[in-house]
Amino acid sequence: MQLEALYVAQPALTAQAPILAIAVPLIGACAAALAPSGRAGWMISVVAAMVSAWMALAVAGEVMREGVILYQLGGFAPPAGIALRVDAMGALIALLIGAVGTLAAVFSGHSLAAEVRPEKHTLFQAGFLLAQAGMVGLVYTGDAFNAFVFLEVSSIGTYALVAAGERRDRRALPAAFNYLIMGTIGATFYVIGVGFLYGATGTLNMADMAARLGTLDQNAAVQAGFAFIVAGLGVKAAMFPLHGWLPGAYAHGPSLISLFLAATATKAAIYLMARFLFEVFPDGAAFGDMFLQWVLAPLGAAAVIVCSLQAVFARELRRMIAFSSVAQVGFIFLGFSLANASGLSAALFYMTAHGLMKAAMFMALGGLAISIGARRLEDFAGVAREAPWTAVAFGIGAASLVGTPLTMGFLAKWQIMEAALAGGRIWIFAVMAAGSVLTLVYVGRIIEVMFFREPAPGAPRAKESPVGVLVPLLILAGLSLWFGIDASLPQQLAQAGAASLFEVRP
Amino acid sequence: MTAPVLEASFALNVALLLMLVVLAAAVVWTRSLLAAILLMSVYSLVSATWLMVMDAPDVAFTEAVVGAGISTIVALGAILLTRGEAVRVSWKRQVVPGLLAGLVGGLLIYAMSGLPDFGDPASPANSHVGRAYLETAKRDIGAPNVVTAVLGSYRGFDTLGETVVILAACIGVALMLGFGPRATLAPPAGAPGDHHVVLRVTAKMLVPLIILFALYVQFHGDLGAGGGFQAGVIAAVAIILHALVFGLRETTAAIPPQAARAVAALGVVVYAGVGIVCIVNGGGFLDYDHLLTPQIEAMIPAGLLGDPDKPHHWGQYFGILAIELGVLMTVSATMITIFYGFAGRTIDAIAAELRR
Amino acid sequence: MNGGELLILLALTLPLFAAAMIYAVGRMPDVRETLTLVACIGLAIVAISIFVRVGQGDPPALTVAEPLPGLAIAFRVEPLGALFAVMASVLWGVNSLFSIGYMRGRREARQTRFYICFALAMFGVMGIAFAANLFTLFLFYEALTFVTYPLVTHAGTPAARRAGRVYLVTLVGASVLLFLPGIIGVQSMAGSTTFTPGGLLNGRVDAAAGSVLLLLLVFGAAKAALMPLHGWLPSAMVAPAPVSALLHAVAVVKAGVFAVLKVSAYIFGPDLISTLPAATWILWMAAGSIVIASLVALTKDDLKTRLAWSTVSQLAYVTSAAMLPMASGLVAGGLHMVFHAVAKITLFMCAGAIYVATGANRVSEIGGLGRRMPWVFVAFLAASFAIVGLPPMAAMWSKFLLITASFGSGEWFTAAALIASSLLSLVFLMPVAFRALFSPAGDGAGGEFVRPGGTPVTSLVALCVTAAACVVLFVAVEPLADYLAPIAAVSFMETAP
Repeated sequence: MQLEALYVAQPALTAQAPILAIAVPLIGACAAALAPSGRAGWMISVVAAMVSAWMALAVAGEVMREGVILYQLGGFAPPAGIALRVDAMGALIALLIGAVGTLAAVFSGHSLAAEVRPEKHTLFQAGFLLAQAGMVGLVYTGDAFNAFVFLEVSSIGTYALVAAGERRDRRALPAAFNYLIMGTIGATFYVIGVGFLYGATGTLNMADMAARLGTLDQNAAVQAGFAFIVAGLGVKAAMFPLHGWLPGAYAHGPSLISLFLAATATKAAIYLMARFLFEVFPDGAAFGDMFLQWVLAPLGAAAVIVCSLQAVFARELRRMIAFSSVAQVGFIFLGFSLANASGLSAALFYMTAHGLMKAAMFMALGGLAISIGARRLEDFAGVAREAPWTAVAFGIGAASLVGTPLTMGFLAKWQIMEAALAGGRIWIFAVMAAGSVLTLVYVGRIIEVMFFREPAPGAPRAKESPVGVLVPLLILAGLSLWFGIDASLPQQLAQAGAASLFEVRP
Repeated sequence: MTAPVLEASFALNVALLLMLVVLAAAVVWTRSLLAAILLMSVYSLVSATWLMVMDAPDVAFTEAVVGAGISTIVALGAILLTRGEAVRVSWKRQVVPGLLAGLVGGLLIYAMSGLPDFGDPASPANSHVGRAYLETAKRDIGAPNVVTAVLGSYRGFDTLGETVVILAACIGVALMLGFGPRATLAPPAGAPGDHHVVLRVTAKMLVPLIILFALYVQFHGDLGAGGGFQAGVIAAVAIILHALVFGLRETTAAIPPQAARAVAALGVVVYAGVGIVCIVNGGGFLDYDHLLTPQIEAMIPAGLLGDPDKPHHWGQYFGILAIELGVLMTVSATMITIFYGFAGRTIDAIAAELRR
Repeated sequence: MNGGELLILLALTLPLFAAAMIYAVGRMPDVRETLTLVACIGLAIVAISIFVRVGQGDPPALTVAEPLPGLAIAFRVEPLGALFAVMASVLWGVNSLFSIGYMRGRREARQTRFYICFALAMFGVMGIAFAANLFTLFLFYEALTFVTYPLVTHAGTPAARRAGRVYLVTLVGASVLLFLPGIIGVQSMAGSTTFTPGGLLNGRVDAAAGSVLLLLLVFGAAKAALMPLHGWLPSAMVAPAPVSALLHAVAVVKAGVFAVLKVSAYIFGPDLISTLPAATWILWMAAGSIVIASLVALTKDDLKTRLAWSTVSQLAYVTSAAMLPMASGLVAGGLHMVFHAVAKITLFMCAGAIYVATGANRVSEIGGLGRRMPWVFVAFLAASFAIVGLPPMAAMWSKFLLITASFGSGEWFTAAALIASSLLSLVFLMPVAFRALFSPAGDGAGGEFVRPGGTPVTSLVALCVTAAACVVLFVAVEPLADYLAPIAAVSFMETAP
């Protein structure tokens, strides 16, 4: 699939596409907050998310043609003004956010009705759109402080959105509180780090910062700034062992939020971390290499093993998948820790694959949650019989998670493992293989219960998801399959993104 | 000649910082939440003073308004809903957090060695972009207050983002606390046991004055410390004062919660709308030089702001004016929404809601 | 699309289409089974056409998709694969004939699912046979595991489910933990996984890396049942006899040794293999496998289990052949893969025929039974001859070539193991037929058939055909060996001493 074939827009519109991808959901959020009814809010949400995704597509097409694109805000050239700077990596992640956001918005029509009080729907949609706008902004911006602002835009709203799950599950409240505290600590650390870098370089523009940091790797403020930024973003990205907020937030929040966060929130933070690790901080600085080798790689490995085991022993289905998300972040960090273009490209591809598969899995559970309030794994016994389409879509997501051939997840694992071997890191390869087997164990458990077990007598019967859920769900599952057979679109973007990061300072 | 002055400022710095340390220790030490909130308020006030000493009036102003003012009110509202004493935590559970805090503190101190001296004119922050702002702000923007030029124009996109953060907080609080039954805050006027006549009379006089002051701060931002953030908070304080004295019912009759939420959203619409208008008129997002079409610009009387001979950046001028209005709307409406969220949510009201 | 591409596409889609049709007409057993037979004949014709094309030096090739650069789902037929496909498709037909009698005679449940899974298994086998690279082979190899799982658990009893779990865990576990890492290793060393004559890795890896990869790939192909990953095979004998016959003598296990042969011939190449220490280690383990499995077979009273252990032993022959530091070993291995398949399917069909007629499944129960079921036991005797390696059975040739190749390359212990195993199989197979045919009276001598009329006619025809094939192939060995010669770049005359 070629990007150029997908992308249609006027040149004048294309020039403004990066900012429109952010501004449209932003204004859409205000419109949703002002909407007269939940239904109207939902429609605004769908339209705004769709336009944002379309603009992200236009940006991605432009990036493939032109390379990195710059958009100056306020007409001031950086570093005085703020500029959006989109490379292939950002284009890919924004495309993921746009696509998942649009499908999630469509899905929310049915899901909110079942899970959130009707009078809250308009505000809920507003918060959801703000989160989407924030993430796209975070990915597109070329300014370190602006990234902090968008990090907060995308987070502040979601804390309350997680809490809105309380109607179905009271544990959403402590989970949201936990998320709020951890998220705020993460954001604060990030901004402290940016402050140190500003003190040392006098600029906030990332490219300018990178140019000025080149000789400053012995500076104490730069080193401390590095530590604060990495730790802060590590919290946001659910880097082991800073992931404590994630399982609760994903497991107890409303389905819409679980699905959107699982697919995109950690990805945006990981993306920003990659920008700092490979672009802003001096190439070959001792602390950077040390971090990749001795911190990121072991933590990634620990996440893969420990959290996969936690998923194996978890009793609630959504918790299992949430733990799996932390483990998958570990896989992505293992790809980063290879510190070369093929490792980074593989990790970016993995991020996309994981976003799509987890979105499909959480959306399928959301579809089931409309009819049954099941939490424990055993309560899902035999749902494949009552809701075959939903179960099949879940199964496709799960297959991709395991890394079954012909799914996107397989190609993702394949690429990281190949890059690990090529880089001579046998132990990373071994950890990935072990992690894959653990994944197989817990996914196998889920599939066995869902597809091959008889429902317990007297248990509530699941119903097939309504069409409004099935359509986005099957599209998501279909994408996991399609990109498993023809991965050229994400692959080209991931490769170009990794290449551009490693060419910044050859 | 300069040495004694330096010493005086040094002594002042030491004194203020010592006060901050003592206050922080006291906040950690005390187990009364009320005392902790009031001490935090004092802490903010002292830091505002300290920021003033460091010649950062804009930041000092914001710290005073937000830190000492509105967050104290919100925190006070919050402790009404919980008990007044912190739970005692055994020292064993504090070891790991303590170590982590020590680690972070150590890292901060380590980082200090890499930072330039305070006020060093050759430091990166003062020589690179910061210096560029000082040199070009007058030419590009025309606003006398460089801080406003930076916040409103050079980095106007950040300010938009911050306004959206405020809106997000508004939506978050409204989602969590904005619905459900609540008690009125103050007894209605004339009710038996109403001893607040003096309070009411004073408040009636104060509310318009506070709002007037807010407007002053709003429009003065071009010239000195001030702007939409501070003005928004001050305006909100006027409304909150009204609610405290006259009761929530009276206030919500004048400004219903839905209206407050709507204004918060509209503020962002105004801000982002300015950006969109700039795009429509052929510029980039928030490029105020394209805010006004040449036809409109030609209609502005040259002497609108006095001196007709001076070249004016009308786009920049009206752009900053409009976005500051947006900030004012969002900030004040959000503060009111947050206050509404907490106010009147007594334990009884929550219990009733849980029973429902 | 040229003829070659069309043929490959047909070979892959025909079983799928057959499966869909069988599902559609599942309620009409006669139509269903006719359809199966038609599909078998069709597939055999396609496979033979491909076989002929390869012989004419015009190997069909087809690329389906390329998810990532250097990672394609592609097919390209070479002699070994063509032979494997012909063997599997023809034996599928014979076995289907047998199945009709067996399944009806036993009044088995879920017969439609049974035939569908068989068709799907053929889809997997065709993909394995024609794969142009390791990745494609892996895809179909895994598919084969999953579509045969319902056949292993066909009975639905707890024992069957347990066997099914062992089956899945061993096969999937080995392929995920060993085979797949091996493939990724090959990809990262060579930039592709394409099967290349002379060896893809030849000259690209050192002895250490090559050894690791070889171990991963050979043990990862757990379908080849090389000890210690053989446990699934005897336990899978809970499946109905036709499943044991086609899958656990022909399709599944042969897919394992086929993968080993392909890896040896096209990924490593004979030159590289001869320098790898791991090849010698695997030879030792295979030799151990050969002897130990034969010894265990001696102790088993259950006829199918005894045959399964014999299969473990015979599969190790082929693995040894692939690891011999001599190119002619590959030809011997390829031939043995076919000849053993024909002989072993005969034995399993005989066991099934005995079971369906009398309900007996133990060696100790069949004394004197030969008087009443002469055709079955003559066929059994003929196939036993083949397994032992006696003339005039085709398997004699492959065993002979194998032993000479082992001696020729100085791997005396492999030769010794082969000879020992032949003697042992003489001991554990011959008594079965002799006891039934020549023992005047035994448990099976009297009494009635469980099924009136004894073995169904279709089943009888099927096993006689394969028994005859054992003899016929004896004379056809030279053309076959010459056909396979390109894989090792030697001719039959060179392989003979």
